[in-house]
Amino acid sequence: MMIKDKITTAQLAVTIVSVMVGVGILSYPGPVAEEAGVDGWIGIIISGIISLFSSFLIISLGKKFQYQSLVDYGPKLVGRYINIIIMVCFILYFLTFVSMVVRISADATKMFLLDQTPVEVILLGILIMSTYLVVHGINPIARFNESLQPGIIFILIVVLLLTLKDADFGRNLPVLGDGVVPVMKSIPKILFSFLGFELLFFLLPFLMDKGKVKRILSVGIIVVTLFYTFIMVLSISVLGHKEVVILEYPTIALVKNIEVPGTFIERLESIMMFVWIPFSVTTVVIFLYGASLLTSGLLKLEEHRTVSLLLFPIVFLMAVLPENVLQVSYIAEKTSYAGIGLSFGLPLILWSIYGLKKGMKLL
Amino acid sequence: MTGNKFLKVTVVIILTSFITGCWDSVEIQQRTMILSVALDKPESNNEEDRYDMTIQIAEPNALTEKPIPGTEPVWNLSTTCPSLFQCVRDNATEVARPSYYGHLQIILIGEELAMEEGIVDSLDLFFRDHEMRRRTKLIIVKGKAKDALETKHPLIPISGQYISDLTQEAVNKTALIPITFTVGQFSSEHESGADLLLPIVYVRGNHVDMSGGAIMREGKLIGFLTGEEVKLLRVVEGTFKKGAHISSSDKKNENEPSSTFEVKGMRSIIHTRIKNDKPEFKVEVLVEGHLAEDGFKGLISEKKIKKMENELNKKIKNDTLEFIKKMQDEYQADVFGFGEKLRRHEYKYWKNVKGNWEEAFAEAKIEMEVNTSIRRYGRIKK
Repeated sequence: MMIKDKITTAQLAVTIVSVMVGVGILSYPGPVAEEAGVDGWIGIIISGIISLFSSFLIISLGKKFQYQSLVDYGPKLVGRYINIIIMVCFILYFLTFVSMVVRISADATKMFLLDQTPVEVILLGILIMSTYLVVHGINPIARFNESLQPGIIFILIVVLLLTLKDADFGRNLPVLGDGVVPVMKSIPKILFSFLGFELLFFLLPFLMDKGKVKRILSVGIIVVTLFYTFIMVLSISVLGHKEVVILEYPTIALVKNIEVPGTFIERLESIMMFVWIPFSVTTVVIFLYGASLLTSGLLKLEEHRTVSLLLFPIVFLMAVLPENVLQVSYIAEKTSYAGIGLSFGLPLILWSIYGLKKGMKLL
Repeated sequence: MTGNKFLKVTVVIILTSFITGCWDSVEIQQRTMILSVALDKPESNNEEDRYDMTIQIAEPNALTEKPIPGTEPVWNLSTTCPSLFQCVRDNATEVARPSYYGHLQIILIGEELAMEEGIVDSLDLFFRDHEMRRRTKLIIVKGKAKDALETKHPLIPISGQYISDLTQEAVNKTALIPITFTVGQFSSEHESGADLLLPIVYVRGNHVDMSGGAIMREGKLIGFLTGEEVKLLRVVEGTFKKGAHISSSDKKNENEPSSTFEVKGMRSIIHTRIKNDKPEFKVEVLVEGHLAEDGFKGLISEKKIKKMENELNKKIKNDTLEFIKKMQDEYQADVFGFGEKLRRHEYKYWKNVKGNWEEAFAEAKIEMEVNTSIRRYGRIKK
């Protein structure tokens, strides 16, 4: 595969942050509070550490193979056929994930902003834009993330800070009142929100300088962890943990609480949507890019452009297929379990194989 | 070449249809803003009808400086129906423009409905629909809720706006209504299973009087508190903030004027302790403020200020304890949030008692410690 465009380490970190912070941002406090109650923040910090560990495994493994992509070094490690199976799993996972993310964001957009627009039209809007970007390769994607992501995270934090007036941080007490078991149970659900760094398997070859990748990437993951912890603690402080559980979008409810003094019109949730759509679009773009990159790599094509255009109708059809919101979240959950396997399980397995082969002097 | 050009033009034309936007736009003049909703139990004997919903539609120009002469500023429209969403749709048969609930300021609920049916079912729509905000005020009306909307304030033409402004004023300035007064706060407290208070409003001829609280348990109205009692509740919570006042009753005879103290700040700390398997609470209240009225009872001195502070301490303490006792004996309603304090600080114990917290609360031992500071006494030294 020919590599035409390159990205810097900082761009890679921003890209990984953008892909991790996705649609879940509006809803994740709900499932987390359901499992862990007021201790969700502990689970988030633990999950952050797990993600950091996994991403380090991926980077170190890549380093052993001169920062190649898994598509290229996979055959040496697990053999050609198993590698194809892994790649197909990744492609399916990326495509399903993209479809669900697009569908979820289209559904929410329909609910809060475009009441009478058919959901298919919103889907098309997001997908056409994303595909356009994907066709142009990793460097434009990285620049897109770089220019968008810091701004929207900043706006989101500013908007959320306005809710501090209603926050009662005591609501987060007691710490570990029910012991560690609920926190452990909540971790799989939190890991859903951390998915995305598995793209490191495939993005490493695009790096310009490979020296400081671990350090800069850990900054990225720590930022995501702190950001999630902040939203979690804030939603419980403002809404109470029982209320967070029953809300479909706790983060929007948080914003609906804000009162801007002296204004008759006080609808900050439109700002929220304005912030959130880029979050989901960046996720969609990178996953779609990942899928096309893998497919083209698997088919030994020179570049991914044609493939990404061919994937477009598949993603669209998968996105319109589920009948209602509950089915969407069901599929999304199953996909996320697959994602957890591929992002947290696979690096461990690959590392053990690497260790074994190294020990047997096969590599 | 020409074919290529044709293709380009076609693509551009198709693309323009995507950027027009405003697919769902409704012009603001085309909308009717529903500013207030009043819910009552219907008077008719029709079994099916559960609600009597009155919506108040504001004439958009009445919100601005120049109302159109000859039009009424508001229109109150009542419908009876089995569910609220149906009421909303039924209203559409009478109002010519699409109604918009995004700026709903206030939901008034009649005493009878709140007492017999509870308010949770009726609020479902207000929680579920995306147009609704959590800041919408939720108020119980003594008597019929729609009567409160029928009042005509001489200065504020829209009665819903009037009651909404009044709530904001009352919660900050007088401390005569509880701080839980919005749909969002109600939902949070209700979900956590706590008893809570909602503001109550009395209809007095052409205006309303907002003072006091309605005790809600599991969404049902179980009793009323007076404004003075709500004030004591807010002393315990420490939310009794600026502007409110306390009169001390150190009168030696009937004709002597009483002293009044203006509260400028208050903080409360609730300490929890478990002793002999019973919860004990110690409420520490710190108050500071000004002397507002003293009736010229002699020159101010350090000694006199200390004496007044002591009297205030004693008065606040006794009144509050008496009120807590009443809540423990009469309603067993923990509107103070003592249960929540136990959850935070004594979680193991709380897990055992939360099933029958009402009884445990009734037997809880509660102590008060009040510390008042009179910081200033005004322009005269007498």
